[in-house]
Amino acid sequence: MIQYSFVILSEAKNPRISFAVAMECSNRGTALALCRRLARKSLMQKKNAEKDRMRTMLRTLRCWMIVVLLGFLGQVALGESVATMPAPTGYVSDLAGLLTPETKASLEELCTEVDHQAHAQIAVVTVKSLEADPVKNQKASDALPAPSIEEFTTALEDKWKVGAKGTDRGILLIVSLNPRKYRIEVGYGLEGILNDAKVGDIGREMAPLLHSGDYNQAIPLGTREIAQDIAADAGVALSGADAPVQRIYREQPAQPQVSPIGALIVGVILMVVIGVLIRTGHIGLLFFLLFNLLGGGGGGRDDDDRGGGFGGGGGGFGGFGGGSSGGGGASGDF
Amino acid sequence: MNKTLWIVLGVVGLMFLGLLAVGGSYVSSKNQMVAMNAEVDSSFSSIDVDLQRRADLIPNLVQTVKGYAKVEETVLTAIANARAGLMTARTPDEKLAANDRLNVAILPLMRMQENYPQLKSNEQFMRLQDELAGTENRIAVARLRYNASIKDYNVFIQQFPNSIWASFAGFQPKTGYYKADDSSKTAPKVDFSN
Repeated sequence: MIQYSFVILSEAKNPRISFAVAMECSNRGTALALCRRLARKSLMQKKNAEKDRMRTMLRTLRCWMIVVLLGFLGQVALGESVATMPAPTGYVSDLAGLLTPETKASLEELCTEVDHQAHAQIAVVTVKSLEADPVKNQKASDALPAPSIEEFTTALEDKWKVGAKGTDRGILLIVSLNPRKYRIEVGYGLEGILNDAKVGDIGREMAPLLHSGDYNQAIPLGTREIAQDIAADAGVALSGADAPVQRIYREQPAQPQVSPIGALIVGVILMVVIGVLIRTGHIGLLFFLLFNLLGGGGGGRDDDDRGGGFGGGGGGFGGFGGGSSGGGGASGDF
Repeated sequence: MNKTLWIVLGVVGLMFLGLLAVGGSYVSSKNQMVAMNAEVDSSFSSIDVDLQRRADLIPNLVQTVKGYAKVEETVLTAIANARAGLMTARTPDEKLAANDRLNVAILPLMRMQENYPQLKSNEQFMRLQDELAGTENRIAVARLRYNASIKDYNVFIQQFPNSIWASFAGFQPKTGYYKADDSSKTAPKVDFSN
C-alpha cells in the first residue's frame, strides 16, 4: 500500500492529490511521515518548477522537431509522383534502390551503347510507389487517387521525353514496388520494332524473377532483350558487358557562321529596301510584318521544346531528347 | 500652317500604327486558332486510329477464344453488332459511343480466362491481351490529349482579344470532350453455366 502511494506521489505533480493519497494509507504514522516528506517535496518542486518548465519546453520542442523531421523524411521515403521525380542523371534511375552498383554500371553501359549505335534511348526506372502529383494547398481529404502504372509512365515519358525529338525512339522500363507492377512503355518510333505483344513477352519473362526479388537479374534481363531487339533491327551488334566504355559525345549542331562580308551585304540590302519603302510610302508594310511577328511569337505554345538537353553527363549520357509515346507497351503484376 | 500639317500627319500616322497593330493581332490570333483547330482534329484522328486498331484485333481474339472454349452465340452477336456500329460511325461522338458499346460487348471474352485456365497459359491469347490492353491504353492517352487540345482551344478563343477575333472569324468553342459512357461503367452479367 505504501509502496503504491509512493508511486502515485512521485508521479503526481499536484501536491494536493498526493496529500489525499497519503491520507488514505491505513497506518497513520506512515501517512504523517508521507505528508512531511510531501511538504518538503513540494518546496523542492517550487524551486525546480522554473527549471522543469524550461526542460519540458525543450523536450516538447525536440519532440516536435523529430515529428516534423520524420514527417519530412516520410514524405521523401514514401514514394514518387511524376512532379517530384528528379531529373534523370543517367539511363538508370534506381529510386527504389533495388540495383547493385555493378548492375547499374553494366546497364548504363548497355543503354549508352544502344543510344550511340542504334540511336534509341532506354530509360530504366525503379520507384517505391506510385503517388499522385501533389496539388497546391491540398487538404488531406481531397488527395488524388494514386495513378495506375500506365498513367504514371505516360506522364513520366511526357516529362522526361525519352528518345530523340522527331524519331521518338525511346523506351521506358519501370518497376514499382507498391503496387508491385512493371511496365514497358514504347515510344512512337519503336512501336514497329517492339509491339505490345513482344514487350508483353519480355515482361512475362521478367515477372517470375521480379516476384522472387531477383531485381538484379530481372531488370538486366528485360533491358538486354529490349536492347537486342533494337540492335537487331538497326543492324548493329552490341558488344556486351565487357566492352570498354566509350565516351562519345553527342554531336553539337554546327553554329551558323556569319562572315563579315555576308553581314555587310545583308545590311546594305536591308537599307536599300527600307529606303525604297520610305520613298514609295510603304513603310507601313514593315510595321505590319513586325506586329505580326510579335503577335505570333507572344501566344506561341511550346509543347515540344522543353525536352532540351541536360548538360553532358558522365559515361556518354547526354540527357533524353524530345521523344514522346502514345501509351504503347505492356504492363503486368509481379 | 506648317504646324497644323505636322499635327495632322502625326495623328494620321498614329492611327495608321494603331490599325496596323490591330490588323497584326487579328492575323496572328487567327493563324493560332487555325493551328489549334487542326490540333484538335489531329488528336481526334489519333483516337480514331486506335479505335480502328482495336476493332481489327477483336476478330482475332474471338477466333483464339473460340478455339479453346465454348462461346455463347449471344456474346458473339453482341460483339459483331458493336463492331459493325463502330465501323459505320462517322462523327467523333458516334464513334466514341460505339466504342463504349464495344467495350461492354467484349467483357465476357476477357473474363473467360478465369474459367478456362488453359486459355490463360495460351501464348497467343496472352499476346492478344497485350495488344488489346496496349490499344486501350493508347486510346486512353489519345483521349486525354484530345481533351487537352480542346481545352487549349477553348481557352484561347475565349481570351481577350482573341474572343473578338474568334467571333469575327467564326471560331466556336468546342464541346466534344470525351467522356466515358455511363452504360459502360456497369459491367454486364455473364453466365457461363450452359
